[in-house]
Amino acid sequence: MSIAVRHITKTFGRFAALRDVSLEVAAGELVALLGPSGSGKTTLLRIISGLDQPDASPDSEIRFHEERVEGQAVGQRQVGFVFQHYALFRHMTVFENIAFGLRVRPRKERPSNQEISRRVRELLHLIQLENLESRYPGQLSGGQRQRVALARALAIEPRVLLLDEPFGALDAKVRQELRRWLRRLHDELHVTSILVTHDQEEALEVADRIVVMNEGRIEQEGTPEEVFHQPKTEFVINFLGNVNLFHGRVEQDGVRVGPLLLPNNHVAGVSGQVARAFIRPYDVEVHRDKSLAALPARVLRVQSAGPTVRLELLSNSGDSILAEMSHDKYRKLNVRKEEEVFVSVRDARTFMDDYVI
Amino acid sequence: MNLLKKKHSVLPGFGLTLGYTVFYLCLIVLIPLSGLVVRSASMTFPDFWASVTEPRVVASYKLTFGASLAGALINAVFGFIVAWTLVRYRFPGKRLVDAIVDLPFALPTAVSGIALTAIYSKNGWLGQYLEAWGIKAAFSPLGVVIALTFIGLPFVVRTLQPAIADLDPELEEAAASLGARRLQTFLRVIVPTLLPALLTGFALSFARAIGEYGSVVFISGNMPMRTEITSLLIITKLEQYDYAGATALALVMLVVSFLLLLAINVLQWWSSRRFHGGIA
Repeated sequence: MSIAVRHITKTFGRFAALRDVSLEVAAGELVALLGPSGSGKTTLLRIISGLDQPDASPDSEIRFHEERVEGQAVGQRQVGFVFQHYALFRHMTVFENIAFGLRVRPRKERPSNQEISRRVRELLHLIQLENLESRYPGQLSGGQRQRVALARALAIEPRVLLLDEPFGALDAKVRQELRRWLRRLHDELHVTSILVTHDQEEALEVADRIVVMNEGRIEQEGTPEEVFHQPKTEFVINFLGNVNLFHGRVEQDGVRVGPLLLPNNHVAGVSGQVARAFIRPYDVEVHRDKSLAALPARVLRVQSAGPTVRLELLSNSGDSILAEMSHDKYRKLNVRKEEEVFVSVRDARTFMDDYVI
Repeated sequence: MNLLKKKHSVLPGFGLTLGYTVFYLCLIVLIPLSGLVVRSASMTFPDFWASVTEPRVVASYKLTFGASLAGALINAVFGFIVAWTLVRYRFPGKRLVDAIVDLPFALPTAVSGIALTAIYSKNGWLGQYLEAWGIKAAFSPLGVVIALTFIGLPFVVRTLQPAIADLDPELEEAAASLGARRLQTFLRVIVPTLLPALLTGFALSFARAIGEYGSVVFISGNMPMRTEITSLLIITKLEQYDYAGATALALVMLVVSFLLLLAINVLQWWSSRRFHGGIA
């Protein structure tokens, strides 16, 4: 079931949560809405679900597979909604929680008790909690609760699955396990899903496509690779992981930052214009031998616990630089705190203001 | 003896506070109550039995517990609505209404008795209209129910308010997204979630009503067999220097009240146990 959202605006009092947002999600896709808090991602999700209504506007549209659903209440839209804090019914067992959506159906559409129990058992198998059906939510761990919440949402055979920061309240370790599990589950079920998250790692790992949001607008849409490697705006590059910012000036064949000449990916640059260059830590190269086209810097801190080694450097011009390298390279480089090194840059994304002189 | 096992805590003083609690309970509750038992033990059992099963006395039990139960049930329903409105909605004068809820707490019961009688009697503000409908409010069992409802209301409202405020709006949204209609959401999700608090409020209101004396004696008219509550009978017996008879009645009240509250507590424990599961 595809989802199409067109020209949605939502204001809370004076605060504009969404400004004319349009979004398409293909059938069977898992899309992540990624952004900081207050970017409007949850509001958009709630509007798609029907829990919130967009501001009235003649061109606003929400379609599920070409069917317009703006007028439908949340219960009619057949969406599975998963909340950050699970929102399980604590007076019901796991079994009854999952069965809830089936039991509240009007008598004519309600499946028989055997049918309900068959479906619930199936879902319990899917979420790997078969032996916990008679427990109450209070007796489950956070990860188990969220899986129950997911099963409860899936029980109504939703046309779309909407997940609002589903792993936000969980420990880092459980979160990683659950998102991998969610990805596998999605590959099995192929239900069109939208996942809201502020965790870029989660979005990059789980989603087919990422929609980066900021201040009520969509900054960029694309596959995780596109969004990560070809960020279109400064916000996107900043939000997706650590990045170094340098201020420089446009020259004929690049952007000049002190002794460094960085590749300029911005065609419209005018010579002499101020530019901002963003460099990922792994694109920063650290040498011991002095060369003309390198920036001298001092090592402030070495953090080698982790998959890569991170160096915090301070350039002579007073900019702090974050560099990341493999352990292998770090051993060869053999630097210590307070030592002098030289920095060059492998790749950068440059941005400049589009003002016309 | 798990109970006395020492557990480190930031605030010391378990022994001291427990000792004080036990001492205080003895002084205030247990000693007067055992006095009651000792006192009534001066009667022989047949005498005791005869005095507590007198028809007039039995009628008073029925009225006391019946009207208390009715009042507590009414409060459970309408107190729920009041609490819900006060928590969920904003309206002008909300603070005032919130304060008025406490009035039955603060008002001397005799004052509320007189006020209620004035309003509900034949020519009172409300009484005259009820009279026209053929309903006799004051000086009837209905009057007792009215008085007991009045004094019990704050218990239900005040115990429910924090519980309703804690109610996660996501629960309602989850139910709605799963296709539940509003009434289903209310009955299947909200009421069961609030049930422990509602039961507590109900129990408090019920217990308060059983013990109520001041406001009832004015509005009931105290007609033997019809509108006499047990507390009043006890006073009557005391006035006739029938101390043994009075304590016998008191003992019955004590035992029945205790059993009822125990039953409600068990119910409460049962309904809240499920929420916290075995982990607690």
